[in-house]
Amino acid sequence: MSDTNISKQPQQSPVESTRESAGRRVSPAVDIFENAENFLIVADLPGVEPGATRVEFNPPELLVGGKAAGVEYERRFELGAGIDAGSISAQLKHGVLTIELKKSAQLRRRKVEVRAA
Amino acid sequence: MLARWNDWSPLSRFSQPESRDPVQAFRRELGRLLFDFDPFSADFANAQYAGYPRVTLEDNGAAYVLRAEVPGLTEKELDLNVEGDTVTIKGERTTNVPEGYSVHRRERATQRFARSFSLPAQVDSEKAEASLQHGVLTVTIPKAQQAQPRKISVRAH
Repeated sequence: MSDTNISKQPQQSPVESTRESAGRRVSPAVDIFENAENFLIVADLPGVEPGATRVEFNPPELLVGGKAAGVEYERRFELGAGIDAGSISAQLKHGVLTIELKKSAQLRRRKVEVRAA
Repeated sequence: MLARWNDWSPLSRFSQPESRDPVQAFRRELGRLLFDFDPFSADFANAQYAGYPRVTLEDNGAAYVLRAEVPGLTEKELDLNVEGDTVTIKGERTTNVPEGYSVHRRERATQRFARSFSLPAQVDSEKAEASLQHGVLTVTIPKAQQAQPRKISVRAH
């Protein structure tokens, strides 16, 4: 029999249940728009109050979420390079979250020259 | 270079609890496919989707509380009616493409809806109250006097 290393772990505190009693996890419906200056993500988050929203950008992933009674909204997006992380703004109105992401300078400046063949 | 929008979420629409009904899921997918092809047919398909808006009905003993998820709607776009023991919620949710923007993805389609609910017990419709907040319409309809829960005392012999 090989030696077994039995290390005594300190008593851990009970793990909190990750599932709430009536929690639904929902991926909110979104619209995504673009113009020369920025992107817009519009998400339906009914029941979510302004303090309960989450907009987190860990490039290249954008997390959009919110918590309402009995439901947890969450959706993730992969954004290409070219977002000015410091300029992301969001507004919540009537349960609709509108996120504006400004394009970085180099992305806006890129123009494609079309040469006649 | 711009990367394509990828929805990595394991919580994508295909695994939402409400999608488990295969008929509704098919309708929803059909609506989406049609929307890419022709927004007008999609509106028709979506309008037939009887599950919009999502509604929960709660019985708190003294009253029924109905909650409808209607993000983006104001009072003007909603038509609420309580008649007898039936509640009807009607309205139209319009969503617009902001001016000057092109579309990458559209899931929040314009939707005209009408949903009716028969309440299990008699209600006092005169005393119904409704409020709209954070995109949720909450309707509280007190039960009629005779339908209120009554405590029955047990006589000991």
